[in-house]
Amino acid sequence: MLDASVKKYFPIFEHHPNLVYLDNAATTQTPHSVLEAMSEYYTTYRANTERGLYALSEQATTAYTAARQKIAAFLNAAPEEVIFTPGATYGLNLLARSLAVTADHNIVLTRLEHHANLIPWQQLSNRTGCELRFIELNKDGQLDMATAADKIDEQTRLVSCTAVSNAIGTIAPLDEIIALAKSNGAQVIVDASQLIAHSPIDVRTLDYDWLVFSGHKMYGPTGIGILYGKKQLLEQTEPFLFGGEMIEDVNYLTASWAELPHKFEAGTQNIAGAIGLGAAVDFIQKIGLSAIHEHEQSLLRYTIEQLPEYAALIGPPSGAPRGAIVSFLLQGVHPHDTAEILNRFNIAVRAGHHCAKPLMKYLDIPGTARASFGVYNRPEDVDRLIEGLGNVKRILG
Amino acid sequence: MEKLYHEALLDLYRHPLNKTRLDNFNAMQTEHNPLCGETVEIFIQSSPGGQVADIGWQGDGCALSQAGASVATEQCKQKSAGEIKNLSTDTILNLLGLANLNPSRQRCVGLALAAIKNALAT
Ligand SMILES: Cc1ncc(COP(=O)(O)O)c(C=O)c1O
Repeated sequence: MLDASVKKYFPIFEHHPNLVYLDNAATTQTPHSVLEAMSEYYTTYRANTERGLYALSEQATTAYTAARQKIAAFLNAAPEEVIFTPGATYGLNLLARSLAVTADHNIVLTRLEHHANLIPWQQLSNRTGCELRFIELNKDGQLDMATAADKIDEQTRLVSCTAVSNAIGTIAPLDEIIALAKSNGAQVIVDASQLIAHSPIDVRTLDYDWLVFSGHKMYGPTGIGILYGKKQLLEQTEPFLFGGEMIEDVNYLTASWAELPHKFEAGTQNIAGAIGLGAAVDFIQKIGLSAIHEHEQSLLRYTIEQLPEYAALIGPPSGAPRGAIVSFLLQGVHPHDTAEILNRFNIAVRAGHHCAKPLMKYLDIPGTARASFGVYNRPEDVDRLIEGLGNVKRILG
Repeated sequence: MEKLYHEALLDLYRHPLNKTRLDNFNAMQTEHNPLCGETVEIFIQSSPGGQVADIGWQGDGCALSQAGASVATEQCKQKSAGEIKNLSTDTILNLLGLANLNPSRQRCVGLALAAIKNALAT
C-alpha cells in the first residue's frame, strides 16, 4: 500500500476533501508537479517550438524534446519512435487512416474494444472492403484464445487489441496475441490506455509494433497522448495530417516529409501538454510503477472481498487477474441510479456502457457501474463505496 | 438526497405505466440515450381524428427514465400531435418534482417524450 501522503500531491483533494474519486479509468487527477511544469512554460518561456531562432524558442524546443525523451525512456523506445498526439483516439484514427489495407485483408479486433478502437476500423472497412473479425470472450470475460487462433490468418493485416478492458477490467494475453499475429505476418496495435499508469510497459520485450495511450489517464493533462511505432514501420507509413513543421522541402506542387517523429506532428503541437506529460512520467516514476501496481491490486482485492451479495461482479471472476477496474451491477438497480446515489455521498464512479456499447449487448447487460483506482485511493475510499452501495440498496432495492 | 428518489418516483419505477408493446400501432419510434446506452421504444395507435388513442413503451433504464416514460405516455393520451408538440421535458420534470435535475439526467427523463414527438413527426 502506498503512503496516504500521496494524496497531498493532488490539489483536487484540497478543494474536495470529502471526495472519493473512483473514476480513474475515465481520467486521473493532476498532481501539482504537472500543473507547475505547464505553468512554468506558459509563464516563463512560452514560445513556439522548432521555429524561432531566439532564446525562448530554443528553451521551449528543449523542454518539448526532453519530454519526448522521458516518455521514450519510460517505454524503452527511441525518441523518434514516440509521436505526440491529442490522445488514444487520435492515435488509433491516425493508424486507421495511414496503414495500407486492401479488400483482401482482414483486421482482427476483440469483443472488448472501446469505441475508439472499433469505429475507425469500421470506417476503414467501409472505405476498403477489408473484413473485420472479433476475438470472442469466454464466460469468464477473458479472451478466448482458441477463437484468436481461428480468426488470425495469413490475410490478417492488423490485430488491434486493448491491453486492459476499460469496461470490465479483462487483461488481454498480449504475449500470445503478438506471437500469433507475428507468425501470420500481421502487425499488432496495442491500446494501452488502461495499462500505461498501472503496469510497466517495455515495447522491446514484447516486440510491440504500435502502441497508443492518452496522457490524461496517467496523471497528465488532457489533449495530449502518444503513438509509439516501431521505427521501421513509422518510416514506411505515410502521414495523414499535413501542414507546417512536418515537411522537409515544399514547393507549390509537391512536398517531402521531415524525419521522424516530425513527419507525424503537423502544425503547432500541444507544447504545454507534452511538457506536462513529461512531468507526469516523472511523477509516476517517483512513486514507482511496481508500487502503484501493488497498491491498486490490493485495493482491488479489498473491494471485491467487500462487495455485498446483491452486487454481481462483471468480467473476470474474483481472484482472476484484472486491471485496476471493478465493474459490477446491483440486483434490480440500473447502474445509472447506482452512480447517481453514490454521487450524493460524494463518491464518483462511472455508470453506463463505458464507450463499449457492443460489448454490453454481447454480455446482455444494460451497462455496469465501475470503480477504478489510482495512486491516491485508500481502503477508506472502498469502505465509503461499500457503505454507499448499502444506501443504494436501501433507497432502490 | 432522498428527494430525487422520492416515493412517487420510486413507485413509477417499480410499477411503470403503459409499459407494454401494443399489438396494433400506426407509429413507432426508438430513441437512444448515448450517455448511458438507454433505449426506449414507443408504440402509438392514433384515432381517425389524429389523437393518441393508445400508447405503450418498452425499454430498460434507470429509475428516472422509467418514471419519465410513464409520465410522458400518460400525458400524451387523447392528445393531438399539435398538443404534444407543446409538451417539453420541463413539463415532465415538473410533474415528477425534478425541476432542478442536472442536465445530463434530464435527458434520461425526456427520452420517451422525444421518442413520442419523433414518432408523430414521421
Ligand atoms: C481502452 C480505451 N481506449 C481508448 C480510449 C480513448 O481515450 P481518449 O478519449 O483519451 O482518446 C479510452 C478512454 O476512455 C479507453 O479506456
